[in-house]
Parts: sequence; C-alpha cells; structure tokens
Amino acid sequence: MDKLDKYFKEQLTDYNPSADEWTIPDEHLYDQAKVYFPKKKKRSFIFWILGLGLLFGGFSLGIYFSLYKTDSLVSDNTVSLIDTHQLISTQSNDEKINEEIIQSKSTIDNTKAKHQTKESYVTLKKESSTYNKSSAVKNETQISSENKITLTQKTSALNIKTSLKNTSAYNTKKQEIIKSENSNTVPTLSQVNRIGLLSGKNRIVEYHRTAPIIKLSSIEVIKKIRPYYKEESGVSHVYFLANFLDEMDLSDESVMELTKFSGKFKNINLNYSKYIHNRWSISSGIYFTQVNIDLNFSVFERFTTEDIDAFINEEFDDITPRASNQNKLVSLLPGANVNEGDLLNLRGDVQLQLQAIQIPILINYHLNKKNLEYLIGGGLALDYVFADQSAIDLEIYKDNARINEPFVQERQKENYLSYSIYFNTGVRYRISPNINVGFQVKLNLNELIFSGLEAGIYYRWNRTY
Amino acid sequence: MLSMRYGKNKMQGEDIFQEGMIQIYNDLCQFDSNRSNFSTWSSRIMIHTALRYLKKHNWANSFSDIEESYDLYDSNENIFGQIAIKEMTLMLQKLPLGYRLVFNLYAIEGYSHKEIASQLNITVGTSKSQLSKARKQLRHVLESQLNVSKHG
Repeated sequence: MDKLDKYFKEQLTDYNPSADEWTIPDEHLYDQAKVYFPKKKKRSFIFWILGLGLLFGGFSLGIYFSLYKTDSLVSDNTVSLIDTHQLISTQSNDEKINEEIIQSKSTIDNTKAKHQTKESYVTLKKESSTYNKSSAVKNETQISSENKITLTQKTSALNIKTSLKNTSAYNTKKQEIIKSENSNTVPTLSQVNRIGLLSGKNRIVEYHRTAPIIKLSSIEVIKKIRPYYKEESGVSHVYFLANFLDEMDLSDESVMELTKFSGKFKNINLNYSKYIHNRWSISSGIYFTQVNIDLNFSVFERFTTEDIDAFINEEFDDITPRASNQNKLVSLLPGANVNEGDLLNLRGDVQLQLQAIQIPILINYHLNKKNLEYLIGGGLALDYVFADQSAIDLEIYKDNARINEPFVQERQKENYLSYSIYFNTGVRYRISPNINVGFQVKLNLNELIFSGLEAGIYYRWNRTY
Repeated sequence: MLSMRYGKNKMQGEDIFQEGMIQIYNDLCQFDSNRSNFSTWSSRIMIHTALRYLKKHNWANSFSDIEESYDLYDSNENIFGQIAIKEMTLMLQKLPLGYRLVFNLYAIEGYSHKEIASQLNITVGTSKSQLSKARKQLRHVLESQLNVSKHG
C-alpha cells in the first residue's frame, strides 16, 4: 500500500470525532433523516376510546352472563330436583308394582293349584267311569255322593277352565319375564306393563322413568315474574377519557414532533329514564360539561410557500376548530424563502375552553340478573357549546431560524348548536330495592372529548309487573 | 465523516449521510451483532448509499481518463504530518468522482480492485488507473499546500 494511502487511511478512519467537531453531522441532518424513518403506526385516540368501550362492554357482559349461568345452574338443579322427585315417586311406584307382581304371582300360584285340582278331577272322573263300568250295581248313596262330587267338581272345573285361559297367557308372559330375569334381575316396567296387570297410573310412571322429558311449562312455573320500576332518575359524573391524558406528551420522537396536551374537565349529568318495557327504557336529562384544553405543538412538515398557506387554512384549522383562519396568509420574513421539500418546524400554543350543555335522547336495553343489570344503548344529544379560544402565535422555523412574520390569531369566542351521537354500555348494581349505582362507558362519536367513564347513583320508582 | 469523503462538497456529503441514516434505520432489523460490529455494518451501508447516490447523480463518464494536469511528484513523508483531517477531506472532495470513489474504496475502505470493479461496474484496469491518478493528484495538492504554507 502506498504511503499516501496509508496516511489517509490512518487519519480518516482512526480520527477522534470530539477533536474535530466538524466531522460530527449537524443536528438538523438527523432531524431531516428522521422524517423519512418508517413511522410506527400511531394508535389514534379513537382507537383507545373504542377499545376501552369494548373492553368494558365485554367485561360487563362477562359478569352478566356468568351470573346468568349461575342462575341457569340453579334452574337446572331445580329441574334435576323435579326429576329426582319423580324418580323417587317412580321408586315408590315400583314398590307398588313389586307388590302387584307378588300379588300376581300369588294369583298365578292359586291358578296353578286350581289347574292341579282339575287334573285330579279328570283322574277322579276317569277312575269313576272305570268304576261304573266294572261295577253294575251302585249304591244310590254313593251315586248321589258321586253326583254331588261331580257337580262340585263341574263347578270347580268351570272355574279352572276360565282360569286356564289366563294361566296359559300367564305362562307365555311369565316365560318372557323369566327370560328377562335371566338378563336383568329386576324386570323392566315395560315388561311388567305388558303382562297387563299394572294400572294405567303405573304405566305413566314408567313413561316418566324411561323418558324423563320435562316440559318447559314445568320450568316456567318455577321462573319468577320479575317486577320492574317504570321510572328512574339519577345524578352522574363522567370522568372523561381525556382526563387520563392530563399533561399527556403526544410527542413522536421518531419525527421530533412535540405535542403536549393538558386538559381539565368538569361535568355533572342529571338523568331521567322511563321504562317502556322491563328491558327497554328511554332516557334523557341534561349534561353540563366544561373543558379547558392546552395544546402545545411543534411539528415538522415539508412545505412549499403555497403549502404553508394551505396548512394555515386547512390543517391548522383542524387544530383550532373554533377559530376562523380562512384566507389568512403567512408572510415570510424578508430574505426567507421556502423551497419545495424544505423541512419546516411549526410551533404554537392553543388554549381552548369549551362549555357544553347537552340534552340527550337515548334508548337502552337492560338485562337483569339478581342485583346486577347490564345495559347497552345509544342515541343522540343536542349540544349547545360556548367556545373560547385564546390568541395564537404560530411560528415557523427553518434550520432553527424563524422565517415568518408574527402570525397572531386573535382570541375568539363562539356559541354554536351541534349534535352528538352517543353509544353507552355498562352495569348497574342494586344496593336497595329502589337505589342503584351504575358505571358505564359513554362514547361521543362526534366529539370524542366528551367521551368517558360515567359513574352515577339512580333512584327508581313506580314498581310494576 | 465517511459520507463527506464521498461527496464532492459538504452538501453532497450531508445528502449521503441523510440517505445513509435512513437506510441504516430501515435495515436495523437485519443487523446481526454476531457477524459484525455495528460501525463496520453501518459503514458498509453508508458506502453503498454513497455509491448509489453518486450513481444517481453524476456517475456517467466519471471513470474516463482525465487529462493529466498535474505534474508527477515524488512522495514526501514530511508533508503528511502537516495537514489536518478537514483539509484531507476537502482534498478528497476536490478529486474527480471516479478518482474519489476508487481512492476511498481502495485506500481507505480496503476493497480490492476486483471488488471495486464489480461495485462500480468498471474493469480492474480502470480501477487501477483511477487510483493511480487519484494518488498523483493528491500528492500534487499536498505539495501545493506545503509550498503555500512555506512561502506564505
């Protein structure tokens, strides 16, 4: 390697940056490069609000359904209890059945005995006939005696003949039972019923036992008719989600954007609800809210001169929505110029005070279980807003030097009428028959700043079924 | 610093640095500390960025032979200790693009002529020729500066 090469290499690779500060790139080079770094996707404010709402709604539903399930289990247990009761009664009926079986068996045994009597009668008759044939002379007394016996036996035979039919049928049935006895120690009720000796009542018992179908009507008897209150009024406070952002730093360090937000909120709501059904209610009331916001920003944008005016008239208007920035143009300082793609730093501070009176009309759906009630609803609110925005001095910097003439936006006050779309979900807990406490997430889809977590206490009256 | 050596002036050096930073940030997930240290890895990215940048701007005809306008001077060790890094960087910046690139890559980064030829899409011979001319020009400038400082 050439000495020149070696010297250059040593000098330019093993240098000490602190000794030669000129080798350290200017700070603005990092800033300019950072603008092009892939930005992490910012999760917007609405994402957090909706996420929180869904989480809370899901949590409330979870509580509700877990309680509902417990109740169902109680109901199921009740059904099981009925079933058990029926089984017990079936068992007691079985005892009756067994008794009947024993009685039947006893009858059968008697019949069997009669059958044996008949056999002896036939034998006797044969013997008697033989006797008549062999002995020509018969004692009249014997004859009459024999006739007497014959008459008695004929009557008996008649009875036996009748029983014999049953006996024959019995034998068939009994064989069936014996067969089943070989497989099952206890004959099934259907088998016993088939013998034809059981009463109709017992047949029903068997129906319950073999197929314990519980009709819904039997559960409905257990179910209580739930009373509900037709009217409710209460007072609540919304802890606005932006309260969590108190002194929040919204800076995006990757693009060196500094945005500080601080908000102070006051709120009280008076509510009235009318239940049109045990699960549906319409609620209204009046909400009073006061918001004080302080937004301090320092953002980097690439602009042309035209873009600056567009920014003032469009984007800056979004930052200060209540101010009228239309047709305001930014004047650059003499000698300052902005070229296509120049990175500019815009700085400003906005203080905004909002006072709102809202009259909502909301429809809610209620699900009750024990002392807990889950509700979900939504509706519209009429808003009357007083806005007071402080004067703003927007500063534009290029390479850390201010390039614009003072751009002062005067203090502005405005009253306006607007509307909001509300979505709410939450739970109520009954602390006494008439008094509830409630927590719910309220989302104002138009003015997210009015979204928050509401806590309140409510009184109900006018109980009905 | 590296980007300054590749640019023809401070502005180009800053542009290269900026693009290099973006590239480093984007490729950060690909950095493997087991394979190389960060300074080597980032230097390599910076060099590639510089080459890409210069190719985009005034690459064409940069490697054609330039009329030699400087006398060949013998190397003089004494002159080396008398110039500051900033001046050395400025000297490099004043070199024609082809000379500058090849000298940077060969003498300072340690690439071979074959690698340089491949990177710059030139022949090995051109690379050697450009290096030789870069050296001559640098020596000439160094001598001139030395004379100025002696007589001034």
